[in-house]
Amino acid sequence: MWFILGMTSAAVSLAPIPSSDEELVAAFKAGDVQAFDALFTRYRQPIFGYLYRSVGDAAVAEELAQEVFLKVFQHLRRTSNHLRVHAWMYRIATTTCIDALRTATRRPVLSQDDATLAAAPAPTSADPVERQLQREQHREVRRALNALPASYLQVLVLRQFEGLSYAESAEVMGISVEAVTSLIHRARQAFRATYSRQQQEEER
Amino acid sequence: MNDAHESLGPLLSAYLDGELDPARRRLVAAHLATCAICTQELAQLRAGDETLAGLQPTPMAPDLRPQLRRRLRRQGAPIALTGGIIAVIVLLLRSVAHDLAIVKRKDLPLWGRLGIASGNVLLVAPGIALCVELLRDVRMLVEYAWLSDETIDSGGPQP
Repeated sequence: MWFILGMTSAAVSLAPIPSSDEELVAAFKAGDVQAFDALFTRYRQPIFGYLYRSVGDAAVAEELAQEVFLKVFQHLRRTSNHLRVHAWMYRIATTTCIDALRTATRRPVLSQDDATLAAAPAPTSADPVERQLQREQHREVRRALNALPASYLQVLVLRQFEGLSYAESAEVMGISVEAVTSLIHRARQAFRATYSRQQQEEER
Repeated sequence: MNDAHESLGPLLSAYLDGELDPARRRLVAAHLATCAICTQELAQLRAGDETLAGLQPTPMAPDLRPQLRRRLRRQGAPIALTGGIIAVIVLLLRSVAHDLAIVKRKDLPLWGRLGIASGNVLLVAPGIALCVELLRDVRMLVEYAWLSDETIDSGGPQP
């Protein structure tokens, strides 16, 4: 039986490498594990970036990204033939991230820890003063984002940084477009209010 | 004006993002021309977006494959164990069906024996199908997590 099961894989491996997400999923369902690796290569940076934007910590984002791809490997074979791969990947990342954000043991790491907030990517400017300003700005924005409820944070990241449309965000979050419209508005208001409050506290 | 303010205010983000249909976009635009509060709110939303843009770019993703493979390897044992248990249950069910030997009874009419035989097949077939599925899972898992390190890492398909 092992031989029979392996034949499908060998046959698929010799075929030309598929290019679209859907073709890769079909190849994986037929037993080609290299198709999974191609999907992994394609989505590794976007999913890691999305998770990093969501949690603000590279180590936590890395751990969550592993979890996401583990779930993808486990469930991809049993998905519908009409699967929208891009939205599905982000959906898995979103649920994984929201679960992590809601876990009491992780929350303190993600909230207001100065060491985590300071461990930001290198600022882009060459001017030292400008670099310091960029670093400060990053720290303040990150602090405000981390103080938001998980659903506000997710929808803001999906829209503002990942560039997903309202319809795509709704599909990823498993809610209606109307609900996303309202959620994005409330999330923006909450971010602005939190950021302003922080600025006022800093000035005191 | 209050009604319009309350119903159109929550649409300001969608207006800003270009996510409204033409009819609602015209409604919001007309409302903005007459409502100072919403005009100010829209300006604040834009300012908030500019603030968010102050976040630094994301770092490059690390190569997650080694850790992913390690975690997948840990998944292999439970899946194989589940498959084994199901296989044993299927064999037991087959054995029970065989022991009953109803199919071989000559005192039953042919349609009765065929019916019972079909029933036995229906009883065992889902278990066998599940075993095959699990075996495929295990095979793909083994192929990716144990055997494919070199082939994939040294030139697997690139997008």
